[in-house]
Amino acid sequence: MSNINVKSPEVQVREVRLGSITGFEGTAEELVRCARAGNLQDKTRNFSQCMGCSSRTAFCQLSMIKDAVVVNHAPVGCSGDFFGFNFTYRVGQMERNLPPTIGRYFNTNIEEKDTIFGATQKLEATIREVYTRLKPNAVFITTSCASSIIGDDVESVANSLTDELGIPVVACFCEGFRSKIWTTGFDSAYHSIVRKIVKPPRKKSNKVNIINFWGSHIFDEILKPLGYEPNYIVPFSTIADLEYISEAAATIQICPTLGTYLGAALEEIYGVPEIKAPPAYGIAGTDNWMRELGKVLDRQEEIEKIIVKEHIRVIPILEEYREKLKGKTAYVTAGASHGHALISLLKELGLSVQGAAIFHHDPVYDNGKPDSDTLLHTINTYGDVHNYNVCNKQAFELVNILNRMRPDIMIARHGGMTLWGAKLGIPTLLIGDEQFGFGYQGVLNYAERILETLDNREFVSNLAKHSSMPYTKWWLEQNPFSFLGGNVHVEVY
Amino acid sequence: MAKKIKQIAIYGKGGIGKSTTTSNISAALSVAGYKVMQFGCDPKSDSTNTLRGGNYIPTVLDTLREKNTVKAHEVIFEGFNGIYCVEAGGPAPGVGCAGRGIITAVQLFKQQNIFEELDLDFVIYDVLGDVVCGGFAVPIREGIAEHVFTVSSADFMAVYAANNLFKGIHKYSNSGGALLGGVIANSINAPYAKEIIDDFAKQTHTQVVEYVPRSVTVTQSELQGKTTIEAAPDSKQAKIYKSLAAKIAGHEKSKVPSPLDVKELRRWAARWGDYLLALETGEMRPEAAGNL
Repeated sequence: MSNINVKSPEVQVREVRLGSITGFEGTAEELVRCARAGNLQDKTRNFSQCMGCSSRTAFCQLSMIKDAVVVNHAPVGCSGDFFGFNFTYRVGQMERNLPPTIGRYFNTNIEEKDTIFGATQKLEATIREVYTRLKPNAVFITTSCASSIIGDDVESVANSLTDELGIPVVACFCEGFRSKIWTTGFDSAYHSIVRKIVKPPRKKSNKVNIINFWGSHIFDEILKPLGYEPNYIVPFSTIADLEYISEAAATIQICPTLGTYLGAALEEIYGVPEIKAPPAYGIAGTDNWMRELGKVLDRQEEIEKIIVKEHIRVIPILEEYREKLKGKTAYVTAGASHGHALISLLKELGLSVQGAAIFHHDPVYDNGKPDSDTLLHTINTYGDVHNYNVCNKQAFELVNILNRMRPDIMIARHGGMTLWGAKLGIPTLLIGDEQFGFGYQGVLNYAERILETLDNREFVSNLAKHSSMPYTKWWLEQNPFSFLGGNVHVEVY
Repeated sequence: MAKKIKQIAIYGKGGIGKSTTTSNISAALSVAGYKVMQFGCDPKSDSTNTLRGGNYIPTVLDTLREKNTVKAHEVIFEGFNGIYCVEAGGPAPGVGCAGRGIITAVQLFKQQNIFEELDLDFVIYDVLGDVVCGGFAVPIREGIAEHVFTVSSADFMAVYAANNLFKGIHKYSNSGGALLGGVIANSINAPYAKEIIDDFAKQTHTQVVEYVPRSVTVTQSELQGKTTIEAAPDSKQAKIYKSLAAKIAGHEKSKVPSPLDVKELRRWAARWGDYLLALETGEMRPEAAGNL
């Protein structure tokens, strides 16, 4: 049965839709096997540290639509992440030579009185004010735990203001408490876009949707020689761009953790084929992905030529890097699918991946195809990963593991995770541009950056000497998964 | 030393007669010479209606809606025989959070030390229906009230609500929450009703404080916008309310009840159902009820 239901204002959370989990320790192969057997069960932690929430991930995608406004219907504390996204937005503008514009983010400042009496009037007033000031082409309303607990009828407000203002006013239900898997927020953002912004296609175009964050535009080079034009969504697109993503020739996701819902929704509702092969990381992964791209875009011959040409160009250089990186060990921490991609890349470069702390696990993506499983693909191509841990940014587990493993390098995708490597004197590499490692050139890009990081070992060594750890010796001597187990904190009635 | 104010919360299923009972207790205590405040914790804000001649008073939350700071004195209104009447009020139906409203209203009074200032003997909280959420458990949880009484008839849903209340009391009993004074058995007219409520009290290790029969005097008084104590002070029903009030005034030691779990409660109800059916068909005599 399909998981895409645009008639419902809310997207189903990943736990329900995909059976996703946030707690696991074992091997990657074991995890995939359990998932395929259909008996994957979340292991609850009875101690948990700070992490993200769906509101932030929904905001991540909606906040950089150039001509829209986001109204966060929440207590003002929930807007604490605005500045970070504004920073990313401004940096992205510079990289794209766009005129400098500050992010147009607003918060309704729900206070105690509003929780008692309801805050929809405040929401309406905020949206009218925002419209008067900025004349946006759409307004997205992101919900919060507070607005949802009191049951504010956000959908009705959105619908009546759509009629009143003549622009789409779209409710995005992304309250944090609904899901432990914060990537549900991406799905919420896409659900609101598919539900209220995207229109049926007028004709098919030569555009290819690229579902991404804010990375470099590497797909121009890949698609233009094939006669196609990339359309990067959702950050840095406009409402008009999004209206006709239904006309695209295909959809590419740089990461299925990010784009699983939108890719599947566009295919199911508007027949836009989704490139279902796991994204192009590592040589074998890129070959596989390129071939599927060729198939979907009907450019198989051209793709085969590119593969041959790129192998000739890349593999000799890669051999040199492999030689330099021989015998090095690595540990990975990242979101799910991108984490799998990083494991592939590191293994391609000949490093020994000692383990990984991956933020959640989707046993299946929305397209329902086992071939799309990025972890399975990594295991099949490069072998198993021992010490595979699923944890939603639980730093205490990571620190304990790193302290035991002491890899030569830690690779992290998220800010806030790298410091733990550095404090322990482990060279740590943070790469924010998710497109950096994509495709044939991506393998070389990564190799170069890893070597640079390893060369500068003295920096983290000195840093470690002058750092103190908040974790006690007691904790560092415990099993890192001491707090991971079957609902131990839940009183069973 | 300041005298000890006795704070009491009265809970029970919606429509069971909580406000009628509470207002009559307040009136009876007042007539007995005590200084009493009745604090209605229901968005309908009709708890104190019969103490005010059928008139509604502005609520704490209505006042709070209009302005940011509310002085407790602005929302206290004098009722029958000098009883202080307060209504917490609530949001419009289907909007916001009434539970949070109760918390806010109760805290507003607590912060302003108003009970001490008014030199009260009794504060009686008349709390909406069942313990539906944290907001409505506040008078129990924070130990604002010391003693809780529940109004229940012999109807299963009323007993169910009372049992839920016991669960709430049980939950907070180790953290300084209010304890249970007992059950006020309301609308006890049918011969078996008393037995049912007695049995429930026995099962849950509590007591019945008073049996209050259904009476047309109450209806007549309420139609005049008055409590029975005010409208028919010498009636039989007024005597019952006065007796109840005296028992509550003299009540010292509340206990932790032993609520039944849902399955036990349903089994208990089913046994009574079978018994009542047998009684109707003449297969069993009422005195055999003790064996149930």
